[in-house]
Amino acid sequence: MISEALAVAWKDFRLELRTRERLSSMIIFSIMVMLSFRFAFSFFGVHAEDPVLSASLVPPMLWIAFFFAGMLGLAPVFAKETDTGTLNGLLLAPTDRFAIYLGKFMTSLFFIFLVSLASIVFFAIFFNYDYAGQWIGIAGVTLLGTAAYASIGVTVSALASTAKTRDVLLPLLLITVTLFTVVVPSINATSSILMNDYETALTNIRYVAAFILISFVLSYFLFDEVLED
Amino acid sequence: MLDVKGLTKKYGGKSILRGIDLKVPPGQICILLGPNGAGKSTLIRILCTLTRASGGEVIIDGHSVAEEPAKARRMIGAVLHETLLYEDLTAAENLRFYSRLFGVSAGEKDIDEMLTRVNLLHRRNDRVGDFSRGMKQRMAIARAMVSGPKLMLLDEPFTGLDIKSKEQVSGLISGAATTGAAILMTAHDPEMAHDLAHRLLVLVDGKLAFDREKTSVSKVDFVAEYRRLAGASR
Repeated sequence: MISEALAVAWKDFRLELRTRERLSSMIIFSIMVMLSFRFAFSFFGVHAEDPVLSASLVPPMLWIAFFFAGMLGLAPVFAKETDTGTLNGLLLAPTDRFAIYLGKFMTSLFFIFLVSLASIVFFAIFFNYDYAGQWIGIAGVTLLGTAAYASIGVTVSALASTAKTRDVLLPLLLITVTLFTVVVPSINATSSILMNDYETALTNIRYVAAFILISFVLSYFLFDEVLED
Repeated sequence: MLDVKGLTKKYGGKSILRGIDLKVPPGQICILLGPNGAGKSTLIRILCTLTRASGGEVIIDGHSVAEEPAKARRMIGAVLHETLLYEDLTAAENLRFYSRLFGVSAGEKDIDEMLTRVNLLHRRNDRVGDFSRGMKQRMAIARAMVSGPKLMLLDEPFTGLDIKSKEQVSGLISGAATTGAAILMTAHDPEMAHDLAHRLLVLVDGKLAFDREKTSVSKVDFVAEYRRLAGASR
């Protein structure tokens, strides 16, 4: 199953390297979000350098960028394969269809995490902000949160891909499923790290890790049904 | 190789397939004709494991499609309406990907051999999106054959092809049969079907209305019979 999953991931990386459709739109979106926040903060005279303010404002701002940029990354995961008919090619593979999920998860996580890291850097540049020296902790929480987001996002993307209203359905499903299970705990963990409150951070990290586990188990049992004609 | 018993398919309350019984032995080219909406594509999709049957049984090389779909899929090479090719990948990259997906891991030599068989070696490093319709169809057959299938299922592989491309694709299908693969394909042209097939089937309103060896019916008689059956469909 792993070699088939790697084949799917290799194919998606290759296609992205050639077309740069997903990454470019995600990165441009992320820059736009950061610029919008920058202008809004300047307009209202808010300074992100204030440590108390930064701990409460920076994490939600970052996760808004991660969430919506990630949505742009998840939307075409199955929609394009469905539109071009290549999804049938994947479904014909003589393997457990969870391999397709794993392959898509690998590429989605890579792209979403990469763009999220870029967003962290853009934020630092636009706001002249150093994350209280907690770069590694913030990156770690980001990796875990984006893994949780991608783990359920791939299944949701598959579910929405054949719907006529998929452009509306995907964001609705993603917000419903991930807002309180992934995004809020990730924001809390990020905020706690910025305030050096590692105990609270760890509690939230455990929530997110548990969600990844649940998401994998659910996807393992449901993915075949989700892709069924 | 392929054994279908009492296959039925219903969508909503409508019966699409109504008790199909069919056997295709290794090396035989079986061509299934029928008017639009007769259920040909649905039958191919069920045999490919892409759609679930409502009833009946499909056995491919001893593996039940319902109980062991992955093992059954290992035996199948399918050419559907879509080419299933990635237009932004090259011909070689497409074959490399599908061979890995099917657990074959074809080497560069195998890929070149396959591209030679479909007369596309000179385009090995070109994007499939730049290919003509005929070239894409030959690539689709190469993709289906890259895993060395024992059963090839082809859904109207001649659609949109010019005469030369049709001849090339016919040659590939005949070639696959001579290597021992069982072949079931759908088509619309009874004359071409009679030329290529070992066995002719006509599906009308979800039921097999005609099933005979080619040698037992002349081309003229078959064309006349097909027109009569197709014209009588609902």
